[in-house]
Amino acid sequence: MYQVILYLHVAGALGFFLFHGATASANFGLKREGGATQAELLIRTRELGSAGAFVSMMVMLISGIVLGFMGRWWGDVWIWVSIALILIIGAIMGGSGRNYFDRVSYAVDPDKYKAPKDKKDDPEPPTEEDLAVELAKGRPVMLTVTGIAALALFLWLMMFKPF
Amino acid sequence: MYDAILFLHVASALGYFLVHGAFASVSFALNRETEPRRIEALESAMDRAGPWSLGSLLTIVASGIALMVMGNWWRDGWTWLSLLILIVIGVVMVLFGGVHLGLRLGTEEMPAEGERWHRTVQWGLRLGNRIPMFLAVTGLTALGLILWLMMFKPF
Repeated sequence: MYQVILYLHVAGALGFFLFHGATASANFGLKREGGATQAELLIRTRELGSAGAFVSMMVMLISGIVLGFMGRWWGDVWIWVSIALILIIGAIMGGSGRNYFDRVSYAVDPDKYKAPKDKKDDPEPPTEEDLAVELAKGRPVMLTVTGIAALALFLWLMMFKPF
Repeated sequence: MYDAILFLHVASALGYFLVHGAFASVSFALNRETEPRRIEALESAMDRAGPWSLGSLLTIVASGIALMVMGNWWRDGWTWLSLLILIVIGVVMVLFGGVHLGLRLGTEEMPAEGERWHRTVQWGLRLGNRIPMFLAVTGLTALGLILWLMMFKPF
């Protein structure tokens, strides 16, 4: 049974990375492509992968918690370091990556997407210049490098269970 | 040493899937696009993915072969079946996925009648807009199978 749940955990991780690739590629594309039409298209491309990424992340998390109980790993430090890492990487990705997409989405189509907090009371709809400013704020390389470093750490903790 | 190579093998598989997500999402998004400027935008979302995809795939294969030798797995049926599935899925992805993307982006030409793979590519193109879904289902099935073989080593 443990092996079956582990299979689900690894499959969930592979699925998550596959779907997350849509977000990463859209992030790189947005940085290079100016203009509302292109940005709107890349935002939609990112949305294609979002639901799949969420579902596979849930599979990964739930199976990970179950494995923690089945393998009696909760007394080990590595599992808590992994959880702390998930929270840190989630905060970085959410704070920088998702915030970026939210701001660009609003600048592209203010009727469809929610306004960011600092724009809520702004009576003027966003202009082309606002979109250009938001697009320039993208940091796809930083996010990718951070994500890959975190992945390597996670994998090391999971596979070698060093402490 | 075995564990270090195994780490490399799993890490490169995760990296490969991350990069491969760019091709998959663009492939789906292209279905709805006809305007050249928008198609170019999609192309720019994946134009750096090619070398990374190839690099991580080669790392998976090279580390997999090293693990086969180090763990004496080459005597087992599951390793050879995994390799066979990888080759088959690679051919399917290149013939249908690569050509579909290439034709839509204008970077590939349809093989002429009489040329190698002409009939296969033509058969694939009959799927039309269903090609990305066909490839997603085929790819995920192959992934499920390969993972099962790797983790359970059934024969």
